[in-house]
Amino acid sequence: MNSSPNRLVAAHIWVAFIAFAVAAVMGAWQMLVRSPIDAPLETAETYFVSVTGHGALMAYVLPTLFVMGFGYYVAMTALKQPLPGLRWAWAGFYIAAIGIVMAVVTVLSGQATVLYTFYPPLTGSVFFYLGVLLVVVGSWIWVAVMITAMMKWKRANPGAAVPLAMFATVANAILWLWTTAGVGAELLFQVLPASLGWTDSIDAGLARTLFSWTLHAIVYFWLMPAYIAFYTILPKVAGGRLYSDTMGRVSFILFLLYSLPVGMHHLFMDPEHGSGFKFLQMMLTALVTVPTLLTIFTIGASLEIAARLRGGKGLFGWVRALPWDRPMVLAAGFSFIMLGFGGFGGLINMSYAMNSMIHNTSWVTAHFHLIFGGSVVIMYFAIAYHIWPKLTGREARSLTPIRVQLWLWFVGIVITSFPWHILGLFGQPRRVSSFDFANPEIAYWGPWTTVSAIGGFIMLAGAALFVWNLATLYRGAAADRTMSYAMAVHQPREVPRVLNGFGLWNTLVAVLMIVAYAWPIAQFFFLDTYPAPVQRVDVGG
Amino acid sequence: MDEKRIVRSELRWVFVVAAAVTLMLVVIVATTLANALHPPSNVETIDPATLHIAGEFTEANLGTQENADGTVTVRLIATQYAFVPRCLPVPEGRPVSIRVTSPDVIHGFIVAGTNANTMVVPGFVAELTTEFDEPGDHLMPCHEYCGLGHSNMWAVLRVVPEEEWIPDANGRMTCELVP
Amino acid sequence: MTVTRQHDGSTDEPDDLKEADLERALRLVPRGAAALAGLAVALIIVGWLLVYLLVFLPRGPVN
Ligand code: HEM
Ligand SMILES: [Cu+2]
Ligand SMILES: [Cu+2]
Repeated sequence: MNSSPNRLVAAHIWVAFIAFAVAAVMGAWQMLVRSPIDAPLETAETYFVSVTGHGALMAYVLPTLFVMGFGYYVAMTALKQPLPGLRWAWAGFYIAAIGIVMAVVTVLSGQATVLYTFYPPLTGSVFFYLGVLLVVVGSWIWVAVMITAMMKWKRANPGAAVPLAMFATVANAILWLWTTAGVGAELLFQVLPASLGWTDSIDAGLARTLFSWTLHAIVYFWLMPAYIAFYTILPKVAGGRLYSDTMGRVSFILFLLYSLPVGMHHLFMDPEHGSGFKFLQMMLTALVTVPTLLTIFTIGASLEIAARLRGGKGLFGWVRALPWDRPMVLAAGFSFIMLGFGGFGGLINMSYAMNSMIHNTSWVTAHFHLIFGGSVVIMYFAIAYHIWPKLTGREARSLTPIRVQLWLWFVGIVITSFPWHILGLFGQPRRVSSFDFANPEIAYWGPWTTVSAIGGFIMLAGAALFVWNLATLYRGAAADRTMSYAMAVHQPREVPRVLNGFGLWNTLVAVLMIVAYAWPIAQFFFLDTYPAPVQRVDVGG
Repeated sequence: MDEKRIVRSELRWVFVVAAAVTLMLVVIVATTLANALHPPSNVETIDPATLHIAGEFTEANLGTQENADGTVTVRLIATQYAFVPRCLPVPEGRPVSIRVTSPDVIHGFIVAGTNANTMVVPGFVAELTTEFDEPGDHLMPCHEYCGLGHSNMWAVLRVVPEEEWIPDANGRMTCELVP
Repeated sequence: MTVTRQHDGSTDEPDDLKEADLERALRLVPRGAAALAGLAVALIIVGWLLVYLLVFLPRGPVN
């Protein structure tokens, strides 16, 4: 591998983590503003500018750029072939980079304080939406490169099983293409015309529905690198084998199928949809727990193999025999713990009428920081630590700062999100900049909010140490640059065609999406709906 | 160990998973049917541009109304950056239907610590029915970002014990009427 | 039982595990994993039930 493709990967990952670091500072500051403690620069305007920036950087920039960079790396190292369309990949990177700068500048100048979900009729400067759209366009180039790489490899290796890491990466690329269709349509047909001044009203219900198309599947797009690491890197680092390659393929296919037709579980509390489709999508949501539950078993068994090989004994005692000193193993352990608590919270969110109890409260913020900021992002860290020696050619000088960093992040997330869950049950709304803790009705929220703010600063320390580690730690001994993936107990040479490509599954996704979304979207064209007047936040607002 | 044994163990696990998920769904479906539990889902449209001029949501109609059958309907508007009216009395332990809509942007409605929760989307009337069992004032913050004044958008839901529940001759009840 | 390792050299580096060791480990696997994952799922479902029955339902009906 020559150095340019390596630079491509590193460039994506650096942009992802610089965005992450900036957003982490914003997050910690937001924590202070919400708490009884005074924060500098505390106004409603600065708060919502910050939340818009934090949300867009954490939810759009960090995961998209990380997934792209890691995807390019997997395509080269798992397929062991040069990346097709390297120039295109760089073009995608620059398009995304331009979009990021455009969006961030617009948000920071206060011209697009609409939060990252930009629920119209609130409408900001067109440059914010165009910036987001450019990031998406850059990622579409990545999708094309991933699919091309897999097809090229298949032609060169007729009949051979596509390596699991790449199979999963392409599953994610296809998932992402489907995912972006919802928000893409919302931006193209509703939001951009409004922000350009071409239309003066907007159907808010339709906009929320199109956004919900994207809102759940995007979560699985964020999650996929973590799962790829679980299946294809972790078993090897732990010293074992992947228990079942087939189950890996099945799980990734199930993610593709079931993360899309479930987005309406974000609209349980919405008046523009009837209970029938809400109920249907609740049932489908229950199915999307299956691939995750399969994963914890398959990965558990893979780790158990490693532990038994290292002399692990007992029904539960084997866990202690795992090499917890290795960052990938430690991170995965933390990730699974957070996935457990996050999954518990997620089940409560998806439980139809029970959503009334916590919808749009701090419970939700807690839930996604735990599962996305926690389980997923800690695996982003672990992946970066794992491939950095291969990109830079240098080992880390010491693993201690890495272990400390992973601990900080885990502890920080737990201290932040546990009180947040409680506050949500009390009814503390999310996306509120300040609370009147002098009001006796909510005075008791104060201490809980303060504790979670402390957790936020522990996370901030973890974020800072992470960037520091990546920038300065890899100056040790010369490293072996070859990336190798975990073997399965039964490493397949060939697999059935349905487990080696996505033709059939794409058709099924289309069918499921028609069942789940055709009427919920079409109803807006049959009902007597009344669009709401566009309300600009960027001019004179 | 042959691959078949691995696949068999995975299938046994799938069975456990299916049982767990089914148990949850059974509880949800059973309580949904038994107690008629649903998220607020009346697909009912309204023109946000004219709702203050005529119809159900004109100023005179807003507030708490006791119906002939003893149930109570509360009508309110969520607007930047206040709920109208700002104080809503409801009787303790009786079914209360809340109808809320918005003339401008998206807002959120929640009564802290209860199951009363809905999005307020311009163009639609959100309706939910529930009961409040804890007398006293409950905070009612807007829970969806609606602009820079969003954090100040709070109202109060006052749960009134039956003996203090004395609506006027038209069945209208206001917080001022609570003794 | 024999371990059939079908290794396709073009896609993976063979690891240096000994087949005999692997075979011995696999006599116990996945019992521990099933116990651990089963316990985790059981705790989550019990927690969910407690919240549903003891927090959500007592807060009153909604529809
Ligand atoms: C130092 C670490 C972090 C801190 C202190 C922090 C803190 C916060 C705070 C205070 C909010 C606003 C809550 C509200 O107003 O309701 C927030 C929102 C959010 N955070 Fe974080 N966060 C951190 C890391 C992360 C990470 C790692 C992610 C995801 C990768 C993330 C994703 C989000 C998202 C998507 C929102 C929602 C924004 C919105 O409501 O529009 N955060 N965070
Ligand atoms: Cu979701
Ligand atoms: Cu609001």
